[in-house]
Amino acid sequence: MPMSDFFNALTEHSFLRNALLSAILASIACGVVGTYVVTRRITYIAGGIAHCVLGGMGAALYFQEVYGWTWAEPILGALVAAIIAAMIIGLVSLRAREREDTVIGALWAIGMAIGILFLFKTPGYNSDLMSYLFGNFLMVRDFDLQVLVILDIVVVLAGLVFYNQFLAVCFDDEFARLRGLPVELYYLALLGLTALTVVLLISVVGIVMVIALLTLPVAIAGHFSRTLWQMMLMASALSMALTTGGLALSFDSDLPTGATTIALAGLVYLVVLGGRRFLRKKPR
Amino acid sequence: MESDVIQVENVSFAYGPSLVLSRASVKITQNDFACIIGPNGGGKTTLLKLMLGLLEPTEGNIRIFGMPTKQARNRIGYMPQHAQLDLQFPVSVLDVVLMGRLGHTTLGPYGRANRAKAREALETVGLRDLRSRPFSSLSGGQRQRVLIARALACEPDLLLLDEPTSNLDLGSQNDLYELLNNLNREMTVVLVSHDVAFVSKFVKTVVCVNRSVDMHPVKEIAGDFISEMYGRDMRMIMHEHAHNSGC
Repeated sequence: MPMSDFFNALTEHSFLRNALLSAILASIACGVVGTYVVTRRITYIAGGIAHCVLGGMGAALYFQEVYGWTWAEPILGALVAAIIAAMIIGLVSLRAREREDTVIGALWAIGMAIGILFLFKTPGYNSDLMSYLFGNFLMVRDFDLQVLVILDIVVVLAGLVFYNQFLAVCFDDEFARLRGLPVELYYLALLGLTALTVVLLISVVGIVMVIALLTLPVAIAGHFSRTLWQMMLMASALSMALTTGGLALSFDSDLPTGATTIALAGLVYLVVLGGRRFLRKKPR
Repeated sequence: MESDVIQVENVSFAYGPSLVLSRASVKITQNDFACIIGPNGGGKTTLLKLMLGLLEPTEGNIRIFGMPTKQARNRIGYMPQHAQLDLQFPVSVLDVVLMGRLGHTTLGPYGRANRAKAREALETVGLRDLRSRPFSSLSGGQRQRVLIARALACEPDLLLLDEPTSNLDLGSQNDLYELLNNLNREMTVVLVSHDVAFVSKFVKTVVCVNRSVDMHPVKEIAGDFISEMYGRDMRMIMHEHAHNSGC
């Protein structure tokens, strides 16, 4: 039985337990923030933030390897880059008269370019680049796990404590402004939370596939939920199931974890779409 | 002066180079039922947004309840055009109405008192039983009522409504005007309407906006033909300033 192999391996290998834990941690944040991202329709912004993260990871690794700054962990670099990217995109979309999608596209590419340049100058860059882009569950060490726990607590607390405010800002920001809410601050906070969530997710599926994991569980949950919090709960549960399933499948069949997880999520999404259509036609 | 609810004095507004409002002046007194009409692109919604302080006038001065617009916001209940909202958004009817209580809460859940206020507002618009339904599953007329309930949940002294009757059949339009007329006993009502020629019999003042602003009296419809066509609840507007094209 392939699944029991996976669970046996879990008890034996600590790296696998770390991978599973990080997937579960990321799933909780993914459900809460992913729901805001999808309903507010800022998926493209989340994608831009994710790709900028490579710049931060590359720079951190470069300074760690070349200058011996041991504290410059890639996950901290990712965090800094994600927050900076989120604030730049947020301020541009609120203030500047520049076209928003142009700026996001530019940041997206510039962030990646910076990351690749740093990694190129770092000895042994090749394997790291692949891990960052497409995910590598061997990457999750105990230190990363501690950072992920803190990120999760911040994201989930903020997402739940400010639930009513975020809901109002996402649904009708003009009305929220008239009720005296600092709408722009909430928008920036939402992008900040998105940045933290992106960092959480990168350890699971890698930069390139973050958007899929941020949106697909929410999109599936959207078909079964009437309110935002139902959507969050269901998306979190789905995300946990999908990432765990993806990890187990890829471990047993020796496939890349990120790609397996996303393919699984995509498959479930298509089945749900098809099933809904089929069920809707049936009564006639 | 407290009895002047809205005072717009010589207000001009331009989006970049294009002038939308030119030296507009409007005065709405307490418990008035005013209807802002005019052609599309004539500046109706702009005038409304200026009153709400969402836009700043390029020139001139606006006071609501004798205060600058931003300070008066918590006394205004605003209903936007519902077509602006994302209808796929997963939100229940009660959740939408509760947004009207946002100024009265801190963080975390809304609490029992605010929920009671929201239910009361839904009761007023006659939709108490629909409170758990998804907002997206409602008909156009029901959605307008939910948005009015949300405005009422703000406990306003002034109700501002942007095209509340758009996309409604005549029956629903009349029901809506009955509701607004009841509300008018307790608060001042100002609405924007796309219909240039006819307004409800409940309307006391007509504000005609087409770059410039004129205020008109309201007159009964005489002809049987017109009253059959638009229903007996409508009144025709006498446009005294016929030289103002289109309005």
